[in-house]
Amino acid sequence: MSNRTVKNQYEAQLYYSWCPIQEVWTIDVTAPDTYTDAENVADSTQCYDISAGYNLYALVTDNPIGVGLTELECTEGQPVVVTVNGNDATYAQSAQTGVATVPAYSQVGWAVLIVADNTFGAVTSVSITGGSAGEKITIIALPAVSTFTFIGFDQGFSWDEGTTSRAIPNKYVSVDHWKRTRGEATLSISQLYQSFNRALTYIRGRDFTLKAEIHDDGGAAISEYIYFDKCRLASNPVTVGADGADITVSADGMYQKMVVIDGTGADNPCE
Amino acid sequence: MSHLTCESDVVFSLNDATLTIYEETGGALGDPILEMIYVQGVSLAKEYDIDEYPSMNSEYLNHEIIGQRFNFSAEKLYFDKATVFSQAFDRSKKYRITVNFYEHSTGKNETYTLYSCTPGAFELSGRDNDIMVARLSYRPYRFE
Repeated sequence: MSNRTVKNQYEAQLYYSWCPIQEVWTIDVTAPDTYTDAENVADSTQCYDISAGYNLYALVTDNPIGVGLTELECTEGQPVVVTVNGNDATYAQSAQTGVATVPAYSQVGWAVLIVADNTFGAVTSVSITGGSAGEKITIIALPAVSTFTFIGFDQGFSWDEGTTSRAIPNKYVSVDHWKRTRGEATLSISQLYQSFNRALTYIRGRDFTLKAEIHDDGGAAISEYIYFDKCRLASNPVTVGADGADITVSADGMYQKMVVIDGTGADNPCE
Repeated sequence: MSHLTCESDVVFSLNDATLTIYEETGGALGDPILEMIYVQGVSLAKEYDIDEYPSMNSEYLNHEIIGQRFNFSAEKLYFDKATVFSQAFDRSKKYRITVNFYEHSTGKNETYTLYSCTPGAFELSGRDNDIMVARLSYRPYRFE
């Protein structure tokens, strides 16, 4: 789980990859221990190539865990346990099984490693225990570490998920209840200019996956990984300063979803 | 242009409006079948049908009123089909609708009663990333 250290932006390392985050399975919880997978096409395991063998993650999607709570005195929150069955990377007939425990009240964007003895080559079935109606978990595979390229010389990085909550009023009551709406997920990176074929000017106008590694206090250990899927920098003006001043690039764009992984534990995708 | 500042001026707001729909069966009204909440808009209009007779070389038009009608519509946030569609929107029935405006600070109120309303149109509208609104139109026989 997250530690209590304040993060330092200076120690965020940025990487890009052309490989997208693969969605392997969707879990729309309808009742405790029950889900539908309506967004999966028939025979979904054939649609996503994870045959090279990947670690899978359970990503909290759309609504936080605990959306169904209505009781006045909240009972102890319950985690959602996701069990994935499939083949390993060698397609051995022996079933590969992995389990992830998504903690109670996990927020949207939090992902937990599905712990298995080995990596997955295919997924054949998924089951859950716990959960309540409205919660959604997506099983994802992250791009291989080897596909990422360091961006470097960044001068600032920001992202904004935008609001996903819309208040529904009733007469004089400003909030009767809430509806989920689409957030405007935007990101912005500024950087010292390197060359046209390097970094922000190079990745402009096409989809990429952005990875931010957060280091604490200049240490080598990575405390948190933040992935941004389907990023596209729509605008990245280059500004050439006066003699002796910097040439800078400031890129603005949008992304589809964020995946945050605890780097301090076994969830670390580089391990 | 004069500006009225007398104390009886009360501006009603839609927050204060209560819409209630009853079924009109000829005898006494029963319990309300629908009390509208999440109201987004109310419209009450009186329209004339007019025949116009232009006269030669004149901008003056003779006209004659040949009919008149009332239109009433209300918009509310949509939450399910059963409450509005099956209870208050049966073409074979007549409805009585009361619209009560109440002003909290002064306690003044005003009620419109629409008699013998015939259902006209039920419209559902919305768009991506927005909430759905149901619009119910009725044609009252008279109102007071």
